[in-house]
Amino acid sequence: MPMLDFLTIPLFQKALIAAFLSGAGLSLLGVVILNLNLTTIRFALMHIGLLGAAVAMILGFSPLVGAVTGIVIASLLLGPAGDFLNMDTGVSGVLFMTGSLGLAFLIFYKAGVPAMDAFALFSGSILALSLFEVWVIGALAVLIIIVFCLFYREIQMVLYNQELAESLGVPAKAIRNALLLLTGLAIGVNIRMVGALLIDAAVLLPAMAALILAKSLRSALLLSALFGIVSQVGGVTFSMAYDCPSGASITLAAVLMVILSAVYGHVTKKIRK
Amino acid sequence: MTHQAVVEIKNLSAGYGHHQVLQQLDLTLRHGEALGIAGQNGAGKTTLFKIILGLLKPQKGRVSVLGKTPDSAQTRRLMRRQIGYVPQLQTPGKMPVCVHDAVMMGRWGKGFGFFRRPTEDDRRKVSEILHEVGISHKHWQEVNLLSGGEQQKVSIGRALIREAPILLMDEPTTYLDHGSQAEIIELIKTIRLKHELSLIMISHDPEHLEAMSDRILLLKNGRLEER
Ligand SMILES: Nc1ncnc2c1ncn2[C@@H]1O[C@H](COP(=O)(O)OP(=O)(O)OP(=O)(O)O)[C@@H](O)[C@H]1O
Ligand SMILES: [Mg+2]
Repeated sequence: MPMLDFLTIPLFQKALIAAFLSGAGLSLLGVVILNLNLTTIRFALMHIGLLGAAVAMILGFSPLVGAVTGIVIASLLLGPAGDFLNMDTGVSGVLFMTGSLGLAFLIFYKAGVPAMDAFALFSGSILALSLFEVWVIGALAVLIIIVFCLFYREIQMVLYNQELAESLGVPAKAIRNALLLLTGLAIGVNIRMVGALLIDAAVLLPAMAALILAKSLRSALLLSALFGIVSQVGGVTFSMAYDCPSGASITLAAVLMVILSAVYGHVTKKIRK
Repeated sequence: MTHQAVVEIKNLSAGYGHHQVLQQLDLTLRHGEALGIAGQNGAGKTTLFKIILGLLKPQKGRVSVLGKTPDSAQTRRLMRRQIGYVPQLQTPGKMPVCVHDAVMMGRWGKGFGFFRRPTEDDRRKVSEILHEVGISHKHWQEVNLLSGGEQQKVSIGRALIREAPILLMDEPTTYLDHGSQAEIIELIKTIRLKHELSLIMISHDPEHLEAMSDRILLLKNGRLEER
């Protein structure tokens, strides 16, 4: 099959490895985002990334470093800020999102940076990844998997009912904040791969598909990793074979996963009745 | 021994931000006593439980649970070890959890914890408790798919498996049909004696409180009144 010749080219091999790692590790956090109602937050983190990029561009740093730094700081602040203001973490996310977007545009205007240059940062491409970035993705994926293995029971309790977990003596807030930080990192890294607009595809859709079928957190995580790998690796392979944009291919592959598991879930329910 | 106070609250004020819910409230729960608390929606009954569990900081006053006060994370953890908590029934979340795991959660900090996974002993205890509360046939079912009464039994099982001397139950009979209500009331009466519990129960239903408790207090205007 000459169409698969590209598998021998190092550039494509690197992309496939990145897709596999990202699918296996980062999509686990989708389960966290969906269960803790963090959907506004991950949107907020993206805007804060933009603010970080703006600041970095003015100070002469790499915008990517600025974006990731911004996201890390924000995810460290979001939980405690929500507790302090006595707000739902989702609500404090809206505050962060609008605030940082306003600030970013103010900085762009005052510093004379065209906003579109900053936005370009967010149209990621899996083929443009440097070797260093692939290592970062790999390290993060391994870290996420280790955290989920070591703290499975505690994470299960926090996702099930945070207040109950707290009442049982589990440091639920600290665990939630640690998960927020990991989520922030995962988003920052994934933005480089699929771009800001398609970040949901990489992080959320595999988890969505998994939660339709899962009967426990363990199966939700395993399925999420499986769907993540299939959609990322499948999407990238497809894009290389048929010369399509990789971000769009990954997204469509993930959407297909959700549709298939919804249909499967529906059919098995019908059969059981 | 029987007159020793296990929970003692003096001159407590608490609330959320500027919204005062409890004001100058006093409460004493004695060893082996079953206390019933009634009160309208929004009176602050659940808030009182959050205070006893150290989930909410008092704005004023003193709280002590078996001599421990909720001043540091360390003492709050020790307090929580002494308490089994049956929260108010909630709308289920998205997370699928089976009955076994839901009850096992109660062993956290007792049998297992950070870097210590549940042991054979913990699993045996889960089976025993499920048998005791009468849902051993639902061992591996998903909690969200159970009936209200069954979910309440899971919740009671999770509180019991902590082997704590104090039990706090937030509306254990609300949202249940008559049959399940009677079942839960019987269950509470049995476990109370068997495990020598000191317990506080919240309910809207005076009849249920009569059936289950030695003494009934009414939470009104932020304070507890004798009825
Ligand atoms: N997390 C919170 N933040 C702000 N206000 C709250 C919070 N939880 C409760 N309240 C408010 O505190 C008051 C007391 O609430 P609480 O839940 O203690 O009442 P309750 O007596 O348990 O009512 P119910 O019978 O409906 O369970 C209510 O006015 C409620 O709106
Ligand atoms: Mg209540």
